[in-house]
Amino acid sequence: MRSNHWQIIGAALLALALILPMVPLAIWSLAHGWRFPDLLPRAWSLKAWDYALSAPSGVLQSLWITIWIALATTALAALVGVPAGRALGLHDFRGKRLVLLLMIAPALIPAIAIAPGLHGVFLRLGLTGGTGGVILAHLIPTLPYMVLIMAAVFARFDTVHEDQARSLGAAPWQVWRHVTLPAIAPGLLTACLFAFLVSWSQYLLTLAVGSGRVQTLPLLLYSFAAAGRNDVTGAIALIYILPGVLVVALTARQVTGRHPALMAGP
Amino acid sequence: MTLELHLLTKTYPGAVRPTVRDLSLTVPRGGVTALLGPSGAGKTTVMRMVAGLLAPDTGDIRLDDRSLLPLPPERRGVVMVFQNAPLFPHLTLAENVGFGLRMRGLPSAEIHDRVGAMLERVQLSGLGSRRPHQLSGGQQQRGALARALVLKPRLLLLDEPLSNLDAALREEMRGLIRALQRETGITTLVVTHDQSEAIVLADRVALLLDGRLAQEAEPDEIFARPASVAVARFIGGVNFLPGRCVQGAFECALGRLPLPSDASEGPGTLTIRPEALRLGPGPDARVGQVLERTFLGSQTRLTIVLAGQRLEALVAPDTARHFAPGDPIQVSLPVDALWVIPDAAG
Amino acid sequence: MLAPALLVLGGLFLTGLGLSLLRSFRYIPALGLTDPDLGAYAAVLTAPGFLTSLGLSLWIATASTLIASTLALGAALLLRQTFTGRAIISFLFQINLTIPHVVGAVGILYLVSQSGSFARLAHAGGLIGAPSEFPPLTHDPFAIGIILTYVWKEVPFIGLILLASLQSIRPEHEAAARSLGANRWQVFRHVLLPLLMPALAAASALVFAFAFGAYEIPLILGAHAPEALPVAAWRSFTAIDLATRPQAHAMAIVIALIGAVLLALYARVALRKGGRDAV
Repeated sequence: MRSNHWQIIGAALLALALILPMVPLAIWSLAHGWRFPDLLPRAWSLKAWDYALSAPSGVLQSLWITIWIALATTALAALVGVPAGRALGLHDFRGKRLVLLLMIAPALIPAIAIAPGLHGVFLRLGLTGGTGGVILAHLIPTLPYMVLIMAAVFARFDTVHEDQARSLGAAPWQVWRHVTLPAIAPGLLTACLFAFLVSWSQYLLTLAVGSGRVQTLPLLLYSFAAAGRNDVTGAIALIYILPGVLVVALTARQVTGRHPALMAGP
Repeated sequence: MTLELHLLTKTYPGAVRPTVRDLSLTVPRGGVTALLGPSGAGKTTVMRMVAGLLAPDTGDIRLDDRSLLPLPPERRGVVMVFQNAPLFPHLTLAENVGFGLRMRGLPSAEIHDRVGAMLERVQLSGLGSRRPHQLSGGQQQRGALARALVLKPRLLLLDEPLSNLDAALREEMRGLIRALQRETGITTLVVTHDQSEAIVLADRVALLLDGRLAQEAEPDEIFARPASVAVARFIGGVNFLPGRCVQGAFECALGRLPLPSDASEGPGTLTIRPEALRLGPGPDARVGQVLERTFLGSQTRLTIVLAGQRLEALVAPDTARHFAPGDPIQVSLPVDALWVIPDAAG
Repeated sequence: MLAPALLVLGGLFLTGLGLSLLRSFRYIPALGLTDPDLGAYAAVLTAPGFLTSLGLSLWIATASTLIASTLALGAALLLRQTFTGRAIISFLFQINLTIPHVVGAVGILYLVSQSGSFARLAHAGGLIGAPSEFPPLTHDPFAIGIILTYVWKEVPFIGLILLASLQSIRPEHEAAARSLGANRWQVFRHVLLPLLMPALAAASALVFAFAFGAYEIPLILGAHAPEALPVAAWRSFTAIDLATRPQAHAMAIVIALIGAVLLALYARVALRKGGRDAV
């Protein structure tokens, strides 16, 4: 009984620590001025939210751009990463370790190491300053997660199901649609979630390739924070974390610790 | 539908030797042929080639005189039921059985009716809405069979259909397969490594050794008249005596043994199944010595030395009790149990 | 099937690195530099700020990784047992995984800066009279705020990986160890920890790489001097003076080399079996 007591205290402290940094952001977004040493604002107001949701702040526009980039990056990563994951998960071949190493490399070699070079390459290709270039750049940190998660998913997939379906009269696309896709769907959903989040959180690559013209939410958040607009920063921060919270709340069961490939970017 | 395999050869990339070599075989219309052989003999490779999941290097596969080779698996009218043929785990039993019909774009009312009738036939009525994990192993296996038969295939391929079942279920499944096959008359090719399974399921047995067709005949024919020493060994033969066939008798270390009338002349190897040896006094009995006695459960194996040759006999334990190692023993080799494999056959 | 992925990663990642490598050897024909040399590396390595920045970033990465993995290990062992509130913590861990680092950094800033919530609490408790009396935890030389952000963000990350790994450990191992006379601590030390080590090492490598190389967190929470290496590198890349560009590329290559060392370590730990369960 006593150990249970300590568990609950430990868990409560952990929960508190996890929530704590979000608290001042939420308070700031509703504060009508909040000076030191007031523990809470003397007056409350929705003006930060009004401003954040109005056209001049550019927040909503940023939100759509960020969502669009993350969705497009996820779709491309799935298109490219699912076949690669299949090859790595189902087959052994010469040079497989090398391929795996290359796939993991972007997760361990920081973006700052490739940002200057990538900027130069994209400049030549005319890909800087637009969302297209940013989406391509976001593929670099997203693909490793897509490929590695799908490799783990396919490693547990038995292709006899595909052969059986084929023999029962399914054409190749029908096999994919009715057998393979349903079998890998939970893993694919997890992989897509992580790909989306990695793109969604990306800062430096957007800055490097977007040349300041692609204002995603993190860039906008930083410019308001740097300008000392704590109230608007708080509102943007909450808008920014909302989709992730929603997705986890809706898919909590699929993304439990049970999945071996639980590997979103740190 | 008559299935003809003509000189099929398949070598996997990177393999030194072909997995299947110059295989020719005919499965007559409405017949059941068992492709029998040890694991690694190339049986499943043959199946996959017929099903269209693997392309042969050379040779042809013909169904009613039309080559199947240009057709993709889904258009061959050939359905293969895989070993461990798991039902698709994300579909219910009824959806599994209706899978092929759905792929063909049949109206759902028709699918429903045909699936219902099929489930009833395999005694799975009322279980249609269950998921595979809610079914027993035997039910899953029957479901997998129903899933194939509901398509009324021109040719049915069964890959080790009984291998994952316990003894009681094997018996039941064996009966069901035989009954359904007779009812539908679907030409069937069964792959198995188990000779007893081949005998009860099939009209004819094709023995595959090392990628080659070693013998193709009716089951009892293979047992009585193995075409080669390798075939004889695979089906449990242990007694081999080298010698020569001269004028209806076999000359070997045991002397001159009279043979059945159809024996061919020339050098060969005499074989007799261990259960056909007769022990005890008899008109042609010869005296040997018991070397070893091994109790095997329902039978006992006696190893006997006769004129310097080792022979093995399988007898009832009651009979064997009279013979201890070192004892003299009288042995006769009945004429109708002798079979000479000509040396040319290897 | 691998070709598209190799093309994308090879095409973007390797050409990016490759261009940096060329530029770091001061090969920039557009600026009239066509004789590769090591001048940029010499300039970077002898500049007073560089080694300090490198040291700071290594300190941030090391401290964050050690603290986060220790706490995560504790949290995973705690969460492994069934108790009231377990589901809530697991849920919060997953939520935390989705919160971008930049949000965490601003949240920590508002929490622990000299005019932040903790400073206000200290004032209310009579511990301090003015913001300047509160110990500087942001923009400070020890990068406390930065490390706090990483710890806050990575404990759930490592924790979830460890939980997944714990689930694959068969309880028989622990039972066997107990029956062989090991006490609870010995079971942890000699059975659980070794079994968890590959997952812990792999997760730690990812965290170290991120804490070492992330840009926006030290940008928000870091001091102007010394600067964390990523901030210094990007500032040098975006400087108006184009002549310092090769030095920025040289810094990128140095960072990439440290990443490559991590990659080699990761490969030894996580890809040891080289087979299908590489993830």
